[in-house]
Amino acid sequence: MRIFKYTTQIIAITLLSVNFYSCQDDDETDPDLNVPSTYSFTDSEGNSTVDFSGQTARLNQLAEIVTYMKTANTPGVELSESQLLEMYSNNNGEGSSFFSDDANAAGKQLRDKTAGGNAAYQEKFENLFSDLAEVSALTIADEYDASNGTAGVIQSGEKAYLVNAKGGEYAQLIEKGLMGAVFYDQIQNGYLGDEKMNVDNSEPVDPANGKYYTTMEHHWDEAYGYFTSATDFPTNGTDRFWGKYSHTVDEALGTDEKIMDAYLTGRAAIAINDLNIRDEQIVIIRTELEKVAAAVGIHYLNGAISNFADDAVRSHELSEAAAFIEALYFTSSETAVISGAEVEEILEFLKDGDGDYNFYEVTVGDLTSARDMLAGYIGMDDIKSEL
Amino acid sequence: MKVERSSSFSFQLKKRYHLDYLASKFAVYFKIVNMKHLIFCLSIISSFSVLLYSCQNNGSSEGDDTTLDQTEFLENIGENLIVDGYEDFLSQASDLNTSALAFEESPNISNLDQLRASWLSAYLSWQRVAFYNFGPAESNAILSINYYPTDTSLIHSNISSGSYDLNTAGATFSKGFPALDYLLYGYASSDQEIVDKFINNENALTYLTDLTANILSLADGVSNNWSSYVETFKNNKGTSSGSSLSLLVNAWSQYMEVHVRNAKIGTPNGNSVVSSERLGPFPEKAEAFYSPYSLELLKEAHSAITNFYMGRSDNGTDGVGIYDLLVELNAQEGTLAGDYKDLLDEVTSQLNAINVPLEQAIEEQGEDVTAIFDNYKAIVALLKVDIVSSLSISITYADNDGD
Repeated sequence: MRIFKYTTQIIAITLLSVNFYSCQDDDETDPDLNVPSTYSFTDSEGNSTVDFSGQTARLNQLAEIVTYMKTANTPGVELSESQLLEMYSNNNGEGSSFFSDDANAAGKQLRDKTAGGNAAYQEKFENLFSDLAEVSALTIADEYDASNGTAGVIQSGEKAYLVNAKGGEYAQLIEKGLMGAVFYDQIQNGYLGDEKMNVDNSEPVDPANGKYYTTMEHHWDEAYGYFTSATDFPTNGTDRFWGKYSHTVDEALGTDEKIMDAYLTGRAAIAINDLNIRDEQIVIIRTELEKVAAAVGIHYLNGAISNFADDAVRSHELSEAAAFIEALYFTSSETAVISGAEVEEILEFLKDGDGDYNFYEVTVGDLTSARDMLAGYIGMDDIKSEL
Repeated sequence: MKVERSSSFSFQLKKRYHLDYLASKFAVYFKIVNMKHLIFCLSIISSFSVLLYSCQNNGSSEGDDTTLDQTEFLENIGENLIVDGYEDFLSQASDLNTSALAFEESPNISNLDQLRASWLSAYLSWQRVAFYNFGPAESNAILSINYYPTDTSLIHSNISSGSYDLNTAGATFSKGFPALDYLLYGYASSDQEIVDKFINNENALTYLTDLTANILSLADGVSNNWSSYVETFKNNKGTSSGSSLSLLVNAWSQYMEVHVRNAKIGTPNGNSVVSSERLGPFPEKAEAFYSPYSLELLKEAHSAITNFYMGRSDNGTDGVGIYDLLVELNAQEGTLAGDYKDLLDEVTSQLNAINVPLEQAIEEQGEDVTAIFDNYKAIVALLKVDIVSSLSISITYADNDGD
């Protein structure tokens, strides 16, 4: 039995290595391309050329904002509007005492990167922060009294969420919203866009100060740092933000490996200045991330259908779903499968006559229609029920 | 290996069947002889796919072959319990709607009694299918017909405005069986006054028939969808997260945890899983608070849970259930299957020892209800840990991303 088991393993390993070998073989149009297994790259003298500390700081900032926001899921806990707004802009980039040292990097903020610095989007998030603080001030200890038409904390079993009068959960709309408007947008349209990719790739930026990377290499790293803070994703880095949600749908889509491979291959291609290979990887990263956002949206719509009658869970899941679907607004127009107008059309199902998300007024028919439309546009009809 | 497991299956089955079941025992034995033959042939023919399968399955426990034949199990559960169960529920929901229309036509005591009887009968039938909340049930959100405590002020405002959509999420607590429980038993203090209130309020009569029509349309949707979905269900074998076995066990587990342990027992009695301190009683949070049937409904739900576990259908057929799968797997030296049955039976005895409506028991003998709650905690825990791992499936219903 044991020998039998090992035999199968050996066969499996052999088959797998053949698979890997042939996969790499397809990509390897350039014989010099040297793709490592983790995100570590060095120059000819062995100096590391990788740096995405600014992105890690922003991920940490959002994580710390989320932790603070969620304290208000306990009724009676009032959040400070000024603290929330200060954290959002990291005190206009000057550093905020509300952050730990891991997040408080001078010059790094979420606000100025929101939708590439679009004032309307910044205002949208600032309003959400202000409303969150205002509603939290109205909650009374031990009273879980949010309902259709009344903002407050809503409870189901051991779960409790602070929601607005129409069921929108501020913490999710903000966290997942910023994952879309900052992290996703920075990858899609910021660092993988022409402006940041058509840059110098011949000279290290500042070797005397430890910057052994070229400008292009650094921009690629920044695109990577918005996806995950781990260099060995998906061994690590499946605990937060896009790395986490890629992992959530990885079983159905295989996005973990596809995205990581594309980042590694693209960075290796930049090291040998093969921009054709780099550009192929850009397309893969953009389209796979779009699939992650759409699939996670479908996942949460399914969850809301499953928990339709549970006000707390439904509101929570629909807040997540709406924010992930909104992220699709920020897919690069060069590769987007789902257009902005289509995103709008899907989100209509979650809105009321005033044009607001209203998670009490939705019907199962609305949620199913939103899910089916989203799955149809992204091409996931066959797996939409499994997500 | 395969043949050994088959014979242990037949041995376990022999232990289970008593002498007075000789005929059925013979039938089962006959099937097993055929099954042995079939498995033997299959294992040769498909040896290569078995090779592949076992290499995929390296994560499962040491030396344990988890390729369980689910054919009879899925056939029994799908056809005899679920499809038949929803057909019965549909016919009860139809009777309920008919009775409501008769009451609307002539609101009087006799028609109220008939309506109440149809309501109870449909409510009991619902308890027998409520936990199949996946596939058609999930996509129709039929679970929304039994959320309580019902929101009486929302019901009143719906009646007076005449403007509502019972399909919206926000309507959940103003519809279904609990809303009917209120209107048929709690709307006024005597039967005649209840009838009079309806006579004097046409909107209330409309609301009543909208409620029964909503139940009927959901029952119809689910029952119809199941008539085609059942083939998908029977063919969707295996243990992956989308397999029928996984869907069933997850739905069953979630129902026992959220809807039985918490909603039916813990919440009204003031018990929670986070603290052993009892906060209650909150009798007004009991299921069917306005009528005297809370205990009867809970007993029916528990009996349905037990029958599902054993594979017993309402017509009395004892087919393959989770119990039999666990026996076949010889889970934990064969003790798990029996232990679980004992635990379920213990709760049955505890429920039978209560002789008053649950909301009354909660106030007068809360400790007895706490003891039932504690057993339900164990029922859920044993399922979510031991049974799930023996069956090689995972609990997927929790939104376990922690946010």
